[in-house]
Amino acid sequence: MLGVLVFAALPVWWAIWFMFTGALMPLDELTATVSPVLTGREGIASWPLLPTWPTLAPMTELLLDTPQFFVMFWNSFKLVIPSVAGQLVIGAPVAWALSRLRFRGRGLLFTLYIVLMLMPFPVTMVPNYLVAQNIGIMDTIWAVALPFAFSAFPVFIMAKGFDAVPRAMLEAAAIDGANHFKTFVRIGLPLGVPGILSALVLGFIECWNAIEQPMTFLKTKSLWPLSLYLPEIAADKLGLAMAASLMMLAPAALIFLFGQKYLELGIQAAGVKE
Amino acid sequence: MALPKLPRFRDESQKKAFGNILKFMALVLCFTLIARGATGVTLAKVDTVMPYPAEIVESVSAGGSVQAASSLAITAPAGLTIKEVLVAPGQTVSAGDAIARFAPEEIAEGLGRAQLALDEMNLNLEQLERGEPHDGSALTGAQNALAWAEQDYANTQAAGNAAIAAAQTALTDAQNTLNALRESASAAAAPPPADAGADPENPGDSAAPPAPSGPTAADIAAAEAAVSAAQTALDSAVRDADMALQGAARGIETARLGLSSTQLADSAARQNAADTAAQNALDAEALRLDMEAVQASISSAAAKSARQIAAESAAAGNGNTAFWPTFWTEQETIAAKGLHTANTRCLWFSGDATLVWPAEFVHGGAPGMLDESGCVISDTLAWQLWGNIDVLDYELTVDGQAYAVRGVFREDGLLVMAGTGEAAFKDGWQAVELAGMPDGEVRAVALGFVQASGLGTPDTLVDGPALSAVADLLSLLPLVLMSIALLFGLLRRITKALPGKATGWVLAFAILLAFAWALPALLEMLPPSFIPTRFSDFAFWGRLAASAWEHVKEWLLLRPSHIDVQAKLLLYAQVGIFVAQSIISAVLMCRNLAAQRGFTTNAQYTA
Repeated sequence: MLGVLVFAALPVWWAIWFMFTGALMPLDELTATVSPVLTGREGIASWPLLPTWPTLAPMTELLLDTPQFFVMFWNSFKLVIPSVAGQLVIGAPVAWALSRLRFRGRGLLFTLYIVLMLMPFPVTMVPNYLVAQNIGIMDTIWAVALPFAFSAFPVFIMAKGFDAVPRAMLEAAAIDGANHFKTFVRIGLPLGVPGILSALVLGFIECWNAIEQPMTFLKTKSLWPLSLYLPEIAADKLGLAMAASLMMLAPAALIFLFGQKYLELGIQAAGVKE
Repeated sequence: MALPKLPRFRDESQKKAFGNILKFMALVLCFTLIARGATGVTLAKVDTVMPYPAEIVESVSAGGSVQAASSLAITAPAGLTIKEVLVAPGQTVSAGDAIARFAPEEIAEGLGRAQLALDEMNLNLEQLERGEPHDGSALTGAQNALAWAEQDYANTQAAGNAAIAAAQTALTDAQNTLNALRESASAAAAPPPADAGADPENPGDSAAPPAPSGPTAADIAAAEAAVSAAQTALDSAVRDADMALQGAARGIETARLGLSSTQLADSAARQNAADTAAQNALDAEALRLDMEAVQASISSAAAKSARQIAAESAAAGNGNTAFWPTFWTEQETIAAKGLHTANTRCLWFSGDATLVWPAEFVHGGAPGMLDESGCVISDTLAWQLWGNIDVLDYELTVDGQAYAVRGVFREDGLLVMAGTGEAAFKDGWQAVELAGMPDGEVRAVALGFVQASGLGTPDTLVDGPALSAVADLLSLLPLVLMSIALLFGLLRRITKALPGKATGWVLAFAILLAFAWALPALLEMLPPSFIPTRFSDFAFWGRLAASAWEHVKEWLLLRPSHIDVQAKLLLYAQVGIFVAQSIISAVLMCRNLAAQRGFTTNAQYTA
């Protein structure tokens, strides 16, 4: 069983190892190994397990000679933080209402959310573009952050997390005099942390890796996030691209490791019927 | 006292993951600052201001007069040494004034070479103008060959005709002989006449007189054979004459062809000779013009004064900074005060005396840039000549030229610095000091400057500020080592006073942040040539080390001069001080670390 798992994990680990060794390879070796892919010349592309002549030049170039990389790195955070914060502030109450409150049209509304969640970005791109154009936020980070903040997917995940909160506890709180807001803050949020954090982790990763939205709504290059930096790197900077990929992978991986336990609990809670 | 604790998490792994996120973000923040600081040093700094609408109320009025150009760039021929600058900086000169003088030996040498070249060209020109005798022997030979062939033809024809005539004569004789014989034979064969006593009725009567005897058949046959032989000889003679004539005709044809080709070759040779002569004439004319230009430039060449070069440099926009070249040379000479003389080392200079010798004056000061009648002397020389070191404004004769003493400086040896005078200067300048160089590639700028100024390519070029910067950095190294030791000691004390895992990371982040913040200032301290365009270009450091070593070697191999020896001694002293300081710093660091380890051990033991 372990062997099967290791074999299944190999493609994932190989990609990371590919990036790691590529970030330590000199450009000559990179060109020699993958030039059939990049330049289209005849031959077979290969990739050594370890660099023949390891060098820190690509990483040094990225960290010391490429200040624009850091501009785009922090631009990514400027996009991600409002997006995730918006999902928490807006999505959590909505999810709580859809999960724990009883009102007319609740099922229809939740279905509408699910339908919106299933819509791909190309479908919502034009409406989002028109809205952003009309309210004057085009070519600002808000044109990207606001659609993420109002995304339907975190609401779905959080609602499933809130579904795990026992109704008896809510009734007891109501008997004790707690109103809806106090019940949400004092009971819903603490007990729904797995769902909330798993939604936020997924939202972070989605926003961090977003390419189409920034490319559509941001015309000024100085506002571009890191996800648009890698396509800008030419083939003669392959080592730099590998190092930048590693750096771009790091925040998402760290956030995932941090929220892994909540993510598991959230997914678990989403699958449990009361 | 403890730092604020991290938020509570469900388990240790989550806390660790959160800490890793914070560490990563802090690291990226520091590298952001470092990257900005590192690349900012190599970028051009441009200050911009926001334009704003306003009404221009300033007005400018000016008056002036038109006059001829007040400055003129003069380019001296390369390869000549300026012997003497005859005008003072700032002095106005008029056309025809001599402003500088080259070293006469080099001028004479250059003129000699030019004169030799001109003489050679004159010889060539004379030869061309005289006209080189054309080599017509081939044509004459061909003409002679044709004449000989024609003569041979005539001779052959005459000989053939003669042979034919002889054969014809022989044939005629033979034919005549044959005819005579035949007539004789016919006569002999006819019957004798009646009155000749013969009895016709008795033919057998032998008493009749005998008939006369004629040529025999053999004779006739021999004559016929002779005729036939003569005819054969005639035919042979005719045939031989024809063959000889044909051979002679072929000889004539061959000779005519040879003459024709020779005539063509001769025409081509004549044309080439004419072209070559024309080209040589042009070359000679061009060389003559060049020689005239060289002679004119040499005869009218004038070296630039230091001020002129500075003004030209400023006008050319070399870093918007005027170079002030200071020429100097070092010689052994005789300094005299009345009857007292001393063999002393003399630094002749034209320009800024402070660049020639870093004198520490005890009386007076360095002569001004325009002061060519003043000199400064060492206190040792003053004491030897006057028995006193306060000798300001006293007169001193150096190499036959009278100078007023402007200052006395500390120096163990006998040394005098004097502005150049006509009688005092003979051998040309040895060195040029360039001050006010713009930052950047000092060597390249200096090299371009001296070449553009007509000073030629120097034998050696020493970047004094770069050497000084390296020495300064070396002198700072012990301080840096000591600071690092003190910093480590301080950090250890802080971590002891503030327990907790986060403390070390916070301190490390603070140090890294401080380093990132101070990086631009630290890089500004380095010479620009020490900062790579890209920090990822690792080969830069190898090139820098090799280049620095080459420059140090160039400096160490400089022609020994007094100031150079003093600078080298100072450098050796500085290196010695650096080594001593480094050893002391290392010892103190080791003692500090040992003391800290002892403190830790004791604390653990007490606990």
